[in-house]
Amino acid sequence: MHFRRAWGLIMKSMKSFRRAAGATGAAIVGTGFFFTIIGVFGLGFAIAGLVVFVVIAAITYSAFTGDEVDL
Amino acid sequence: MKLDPAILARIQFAFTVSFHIMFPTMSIGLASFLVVVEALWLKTKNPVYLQIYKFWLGIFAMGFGIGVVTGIVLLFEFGLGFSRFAEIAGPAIGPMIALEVLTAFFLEAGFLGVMLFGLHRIGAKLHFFATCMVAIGTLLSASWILSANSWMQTPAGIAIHDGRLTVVNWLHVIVNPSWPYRLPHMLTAAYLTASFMVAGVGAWYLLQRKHLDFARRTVALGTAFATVLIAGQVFLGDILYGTMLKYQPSKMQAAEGFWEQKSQSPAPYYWFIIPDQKTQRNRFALGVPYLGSIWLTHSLDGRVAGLKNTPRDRQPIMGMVFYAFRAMYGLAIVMFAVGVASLWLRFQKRLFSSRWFLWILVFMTPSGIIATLAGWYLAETGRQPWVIYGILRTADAVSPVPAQALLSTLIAFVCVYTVFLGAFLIFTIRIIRHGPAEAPSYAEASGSLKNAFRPYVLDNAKRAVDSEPALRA
Repeated sequence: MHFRRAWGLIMKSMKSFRRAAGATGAAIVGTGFFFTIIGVFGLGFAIAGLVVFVVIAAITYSAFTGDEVDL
Repeated sequence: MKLDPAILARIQFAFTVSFHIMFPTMSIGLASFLVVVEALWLKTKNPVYLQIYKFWLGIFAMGFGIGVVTGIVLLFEFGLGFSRFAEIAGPAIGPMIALEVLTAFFLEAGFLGVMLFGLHRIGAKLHFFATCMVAIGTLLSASWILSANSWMQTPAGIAIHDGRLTVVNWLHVIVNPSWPYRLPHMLTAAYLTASFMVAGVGAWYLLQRKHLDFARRTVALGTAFATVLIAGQVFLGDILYGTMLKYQPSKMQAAEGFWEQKSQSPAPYYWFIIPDQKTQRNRFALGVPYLGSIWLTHSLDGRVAGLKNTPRDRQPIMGMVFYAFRAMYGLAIVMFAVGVASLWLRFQKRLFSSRWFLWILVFMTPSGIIATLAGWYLAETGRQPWVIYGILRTADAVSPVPAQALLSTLIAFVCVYTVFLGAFLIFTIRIIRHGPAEAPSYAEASGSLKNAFRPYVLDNAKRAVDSEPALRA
């Protein structure tokens, strides 16, 4: 019983850690895109960054559906 | 106390134009959103898209109406408050405003009725055509107005003989140096405004566990558009920044909060300053080290030009320009962060179930309008002390009218516009509270002005009629 609860706690912590790590990664990638798009690395990189960002957004919104409302 | 007519005329115009710009921003964005939604309905035949269309059509119509009425006031103000400006700039500005009426207003007026009331009276495809025409009308309207305003920022195509302005090249007047960059920047701002409004209302329904299918679609559409648009807006903003640095350096010098001809190296990026225009220095400044050099000069140790590069009598007021720019740019950064977060949550399949994110969307509902207002304050206060940059000073453009007349009309405008805003908010909240299924495509007549301000009166009357078969018959 104790083992089950401990395992559940570990799994919950792991999930929280994975989410936090994922959010941090997304924030870093987002910051990189922002700096690129505002032209810190030049106009060529800014255009390329914008195109890549838009393509990623389009793919994410069209491919990853099926989210259920569970508030 | 002695009232200055010039100050009062400027306050009056600032108030009326600030009020006005909120509504075209909304209606330009919502018109194109309605085109997309109706196209999705025609393509998929999914009734939820028709529901979304009908829901937002009512809010669009109210915003459109107030936008038109408050826009006409501005044209009168040119003549009444700024007659010297109207006299000098008339040959360039006048035809552009007339063309706006002839092209955009006629197009919108011709199809708006069909769009609002023709859904079940004409074919679906013809109705879609009407929606497209109204959306194109809003774009044309924005194009002409942006062309006129951009000409005031970067005048071109004219010659001045004996104090009179003559147009020598119409193409240069219309396609003046800043117009090609300011128009897409403004249109993207309008689309972003609509996107965040749509996403915010959808998020509110999800949090309330109401109209879930409608809410999921609107949150998905709103956040998807907002994510793509904010990336484009950041890109366009940077290009526009470079253009204004070339044509209106004083504006961008004031916008960055530096006074000295060259800033220290590396330059910080200021987020808070207390500028002192008299002594030409900042009493206090708080910023992020290196970020000014990185963002503004695209190097680690670049120096930024300060406002002392501009003669004192040609300087804008730094505080106003700086904080307008920071408000707009700060909101753009937050919008970008929300866009990235929405992508991450969509990837995680938690977009509709993360309450914290839905609350952020709700709070971001008016963000587009606030950012647009801040952007316009940046554009207009940064152009000072000129009304036509480098040609006519604002102080020389004011009409010789008594201050009392300007003050009384200003008070009247504040009173009337407060009623407009109150009515718009009441009916919008009412439509949102009713929800998509019951949303009328127009604001129902309430019978009296008193009842119009009582959102529940009609609801109760309608319920009473519905519950009473004899009355219904």
